[in-house]
Amino acid sequence: MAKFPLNEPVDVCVIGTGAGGGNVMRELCTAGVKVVALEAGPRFVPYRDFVNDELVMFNRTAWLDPVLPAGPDQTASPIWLAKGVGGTTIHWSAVSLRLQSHEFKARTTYGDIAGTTLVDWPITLEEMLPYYKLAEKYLGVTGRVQPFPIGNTNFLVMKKGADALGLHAHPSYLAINARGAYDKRPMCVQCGFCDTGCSTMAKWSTLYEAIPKAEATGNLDLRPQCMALRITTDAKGQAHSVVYAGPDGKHHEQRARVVVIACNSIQTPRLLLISESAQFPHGLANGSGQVGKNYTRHMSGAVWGLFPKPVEAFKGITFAGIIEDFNVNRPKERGFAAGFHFETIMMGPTRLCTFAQPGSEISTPWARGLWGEAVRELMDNYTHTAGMWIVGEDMPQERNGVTLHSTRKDQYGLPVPVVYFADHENDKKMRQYAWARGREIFQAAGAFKTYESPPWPSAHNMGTCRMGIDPGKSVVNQHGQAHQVKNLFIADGSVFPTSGAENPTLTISALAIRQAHYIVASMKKHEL
Amino acid sequence: MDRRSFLKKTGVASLAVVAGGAIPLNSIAEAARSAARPTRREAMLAVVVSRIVPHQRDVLKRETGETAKSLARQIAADEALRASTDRVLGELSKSSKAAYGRGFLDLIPDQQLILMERAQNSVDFQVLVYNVLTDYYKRPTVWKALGYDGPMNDRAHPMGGYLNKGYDKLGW
Ligand SMILES: Cc1cc2nc3c(=O)[nH]c(=O)nc-3n(C[C@H](O)[C@H](O)[C@H](O)COP(=O)(O)OP(=O)(O)OC[C@H]3O[C@@H](n4cnc5c(N)ncnc54)[C@H](O)[C@@H]3O)c2cc1C
Repeated sequence: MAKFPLNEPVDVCVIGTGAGGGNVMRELCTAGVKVVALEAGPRFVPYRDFVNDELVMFNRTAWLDPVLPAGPDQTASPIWLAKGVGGTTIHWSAVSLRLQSHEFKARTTYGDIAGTTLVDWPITLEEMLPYYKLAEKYLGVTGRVQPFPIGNTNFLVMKKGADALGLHAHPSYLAINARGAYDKRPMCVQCGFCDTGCSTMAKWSTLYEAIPKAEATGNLDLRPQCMALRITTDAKGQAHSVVYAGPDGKHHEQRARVVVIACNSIQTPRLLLISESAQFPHGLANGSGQVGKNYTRHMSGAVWGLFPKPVEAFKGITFAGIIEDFNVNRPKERGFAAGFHFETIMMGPTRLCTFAQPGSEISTPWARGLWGEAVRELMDNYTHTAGMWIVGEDMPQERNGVTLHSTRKDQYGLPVPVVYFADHENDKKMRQYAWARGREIFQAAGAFKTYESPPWPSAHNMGTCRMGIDPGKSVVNQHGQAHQVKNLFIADGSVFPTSGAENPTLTISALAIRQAHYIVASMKKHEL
Repeated sequence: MDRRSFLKKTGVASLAVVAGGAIPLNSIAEAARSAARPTRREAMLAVVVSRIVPHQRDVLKRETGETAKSLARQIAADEALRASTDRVLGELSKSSKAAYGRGFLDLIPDQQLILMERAQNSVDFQVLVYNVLTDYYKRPTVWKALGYDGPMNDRAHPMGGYLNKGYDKLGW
């Protein structure tokens, strides 16, 4: 671990230490680049700070600074992201899927769907493959570099239904050491608390994989509880420094040859919009006007089944199994474009009671939570419940996105982000279809009752600084490099032009690794 | 409602208070006083909680009383929560008088339920439901009664979990 003098220039300043930031740091530091990393949240110690308690962990590690919802489909709390070294890879459930070839060509495949801003990615699956493979090696993805997990009982119920209907359920691609130790981290003990922070470190996180590796090089100075407030530019319009508030609230200025923003799809566009100046009147790197727009969060939902016999789905890896049969594009047959997956899901009683049928506290203002006999029936059957989450491609729309509130400020005096979101008709049709298929799967497995859950506060956040070839229509190029500001990069989920149907973090990681290699090569050629 | 007031108004913030153990002394004193003689609010809360989570088994029934007490403590420490809960209880008292000419506590359970169903569309009622459920279903006694063994690993047993304990055996 390095400690560079405060306020002295450094090669690269990385803001945010989650999936994007962590991967960039590892690659830069192991290539000899000196990095200062700024992280708004604290540094947790897994065995000490991660407890198997859903609410305690949410309150301890979630991003609780104000993020306001807006739009017709607003949920009470628009996002679920983490604040701490490791970012949302503290909470994530480790499903690690590659996007499919046709999803990189979304506009070509789905056509011109009214109300969408569908585009093709400026990059193909073939170009991504080597980086996917590298990312899978770092993350230790099962089914790729480690054996597939053994499915838990929740998976076995899903499989029962799938088998009966001629579908294919199989253990999932997971960044979890499900079958043995890997990369000096231990084997998973199947405690069932994947999405609260893994105290044994069997589930991958940048907190204890990428970041310690970067620190071991002596090239990383990671500064927790340091909130980036603004990025300044020089007379030539290049990124000059990052102004940030330290743990004591004092402001510092970190100069760097290159600045990488990896604050996630809400905070990255926010930081760019805040960093407006006479040179960049609509926000830094926002010549296209696309910063904050085209936000996607996946078409999501869940299905739960109550069974006459015990399932005990809480045992073992939460997202142990997957059904991939529906991830194809069959618009004529199904009435909507793009595809989705079913993934096993379970929660502790504390969350299932409010998430199975959320009220207005979690979902939309008109949603009504279960209570009385309805909640009693569900919870008396807690051990007899199986669950599946639905994750599908949602349509990018220009109006969905992040803006700055005109008056409200956070504790740093910065304008609060407002997240506008409305489903596209395609998203709604896909959800109805997926719920129906989910019900069929559980009924085929013997469920006597099923429930459908609407989307919860969004855990998958993408778009908002989309990549593309045309500087007039996108924010960054295929390397995540800002079209307008050559020494400014974005390394998180905000660069996704479209969402694909797959959980995003493996793709964020692969893109970040690719970006870091590009930065190193460009620095060597003195192009940066 | 914005996120901050959402967090302030709802269980997330109040649970943070409970989890952090940051209950002011005056609320402990109030709780101690009320342990001896329940106030009207506490008596109503106890009934409303038992209707929100109407489990039948004794052990589960008993625990609704604990949740009611816990809510009373949270209310004592949180003005916004107190106001919100009192609006629900006030509405139930008012509609009880109007519909049946009696106080809510003097009604039979079915009548109480009818009034609660009528009240369920208010934000305050939804907040109350959320707070009751998250307090009640986080209780180890409730977990045990529902057959949930929790994570099976903690600091003393870091290698617990369900490995070799049937996580992969469905049995049907
Ligand atoms: C419960 C849950 C389960 C999930 N499961 C999966 C899964 O199974 N598979 C999958 O692919 N994805 C999953 N995800 C999503 C996944 O966690 C995210 O896609 C991923 O972490 C996003 O990476 P990122 O780099 O964009 O941002 P993040 O990981 O959110 O990192 C951003 C970091 O930047 C910091 N930051 C923000 N603003 C500033 C600032 N101004 N200054 C300094 N630091 C700042 C934040 O504190 C944070 O640490 C899940 C998410 C949740 C919440």
